[in-house]
Amino acid sequence: MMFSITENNNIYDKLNILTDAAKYDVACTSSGITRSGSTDTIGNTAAAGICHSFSGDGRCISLLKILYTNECIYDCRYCINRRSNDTRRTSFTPDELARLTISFYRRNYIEGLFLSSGITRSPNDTMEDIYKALLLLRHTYKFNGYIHVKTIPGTDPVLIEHIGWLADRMSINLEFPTADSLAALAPHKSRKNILTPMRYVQTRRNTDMYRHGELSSSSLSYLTDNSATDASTELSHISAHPSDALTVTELRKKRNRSVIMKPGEKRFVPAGQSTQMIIGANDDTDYEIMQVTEALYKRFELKRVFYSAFINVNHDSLLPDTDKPELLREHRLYQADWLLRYYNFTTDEILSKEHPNLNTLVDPKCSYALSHLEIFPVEIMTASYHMLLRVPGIGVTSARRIVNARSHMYGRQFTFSDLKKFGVVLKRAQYFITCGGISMIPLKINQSFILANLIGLTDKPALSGLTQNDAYEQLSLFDVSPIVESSLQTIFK
Amino acid sequence: MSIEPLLPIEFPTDKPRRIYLCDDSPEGILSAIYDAWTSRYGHSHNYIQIASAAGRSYFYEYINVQTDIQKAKNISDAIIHRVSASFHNFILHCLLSASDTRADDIYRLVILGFHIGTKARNCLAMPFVNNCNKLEINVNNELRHYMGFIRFQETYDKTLFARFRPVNNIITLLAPHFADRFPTERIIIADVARKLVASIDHKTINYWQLSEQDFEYLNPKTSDDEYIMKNLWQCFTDTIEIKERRNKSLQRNNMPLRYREFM
Repeated sequence: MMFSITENNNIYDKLNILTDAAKYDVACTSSGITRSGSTDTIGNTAAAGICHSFSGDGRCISLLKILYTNECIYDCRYCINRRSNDTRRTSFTPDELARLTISFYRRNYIEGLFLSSGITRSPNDTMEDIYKALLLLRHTYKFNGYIHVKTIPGTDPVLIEHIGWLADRMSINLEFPTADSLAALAPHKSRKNILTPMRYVQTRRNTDMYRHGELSSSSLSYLTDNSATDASTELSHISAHPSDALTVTELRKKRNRSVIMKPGEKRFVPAGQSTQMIIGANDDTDYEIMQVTEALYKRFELKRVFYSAFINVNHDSLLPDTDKPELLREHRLYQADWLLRYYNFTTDEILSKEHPNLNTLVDPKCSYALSHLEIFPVEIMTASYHMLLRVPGIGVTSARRIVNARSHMYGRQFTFSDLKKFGVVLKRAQYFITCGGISMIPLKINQSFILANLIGLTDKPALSGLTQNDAYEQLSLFDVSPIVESSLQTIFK
Repeated sequence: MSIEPLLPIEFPTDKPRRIYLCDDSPEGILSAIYDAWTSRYGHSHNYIQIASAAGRSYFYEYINVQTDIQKAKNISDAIIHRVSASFHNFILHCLLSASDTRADDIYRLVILGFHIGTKARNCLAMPFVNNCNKLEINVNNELRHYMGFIRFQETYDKTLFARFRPVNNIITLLAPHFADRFPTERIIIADVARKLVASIDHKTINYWQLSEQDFEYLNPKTSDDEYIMKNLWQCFTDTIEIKERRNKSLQRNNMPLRYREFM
């Protein structure tokens, strides 16, 4: 397992260069699959994923995220590894990569390997190298931990078929929500080249799950046609799709199911697929991004869609000349993404053509609640789980706790302090709930009052700051503060 | 069903309240539950406290509980057979917590469990259920963190050696994870706070309670590779950071400093 001194310097430099080149990939999750260890291998995996460290930017380090090589024949304008950049180029040998992974894994530094690559000669040649490295790691070094492989657009399905049996998760980057942006900024990539491998993995994974009795034949039927020639149109909401017949809850259950593998069992991409999009490198709206995201979840059954705030590494003339990545926008998109995946929301409930961007002042759920005041306040003692999830400040866990506890009350009523113990964030929820018919504040259900307090977000704004006068005030045309007024305009143009 | 008999009474009645004082260990608390239960004195007049954290009052009767493995085992078995294995697992996590006040809450939860089954965990409006739930979450969170944050060093004889300082007594939950993960390795995990050591040899786990002196000897020489690997890892963690996104406070939120003592 030892690296000699000269080789070691070599390894150190390689690791440095290839990590630096891989760091802009977002996904570092090790989740989605439970696989216990077996007698002669090294490693196991946990469905929840395990974080092993956190880097200085606060992002989780779970996998050894590196490129196989940073030599690339493509010239994507946003990418640090594009061929027109004059940077140091290097590549691992399969053996170096395997030894590094095993050495790190034994010391519990990492949960597995995240392998991506630049494109050396052609997509197929590069993926063949990756396949060789994985084969060595899995079979010769008997590695049983997590492996995430990035697929290169345009890879032949035959290669994906081989790699899919070795990897736990595969991902292929969509890069931009619209085909036009992709054509402008990544001239060597095309929608079709990206979606064909994605559809192939989806189909194969579903047949594999069907083989193991985890899917019914009816949920397979709409995948019989696995040509992706029309896959591009599937990303737009215009075309009808068989998955539209499934309810949001059914889709969520299907997507969130994590596979449990028996020792020695072989599965095709058991932890599913993910993808990522760059945010803020062009003028795509949040609405377009979320629509594509929803289509990816529904029609391509992705486990995750990641968003990456654009970082200007190349200062290309076609790209916006910014210094700072749009982190807040990225954060809001992730919040909206969570609403899609866990809270049974649809894109059209959060955004619309008229209001195509997410509000920066409040989170998407607050924004939704403010524009749907007709369904509030919600009575905690009687509301359905589905309804509780729509209340700002109530999450999946606290909604589940409320529903569970409600059936064992023995004649008592919830109090607001009970709710606080369940994890309900009252500073947001207080405007939208009643508890046993009682409201926490003298309720004034109008947009300007609630928004003003939501932005303030002190712990008990409504209680401490509200005098009798404020609670029942004379209507006036001039008492809405300018900031509230302007942000109201952004929500309700 | 009324829940009143389950809760301890707050004012003197015809008979004095009995306080059971037990060891700060899972077996100690289970023995106290066994004694309190079999005394037939009435649950609402019993109260269990951990001896080291208990005060004294003239109004109560105090009973010192001898830790008895057999009694603890009887209670455990009864929970598994009469309630469920998952409920037993939940109780076990609560028992391993570091909280001083957990004993009585667990006692109340076990009583409720025998009454209404596993769903006792859901009665969150009752204070003791809520408290136990918090304990379990706390233990599980720390366990999950240490599954990732514990660091092994390779010693001169290829054994993997790790030290850590958990708040809760989680070594018995942590060791099986690594026994499963590295079936071909010899591993030693040492809990610095409790001087507890788990040794794993090809999936067989043994636990040792060491004396202060013995624990100091547990300081094996590392292998030659160790320095190289540490440097490589350092290089990786430094390089993976995106400088434009630097956010040290987020890093500290996600990985509090107390986990980094032996990194």
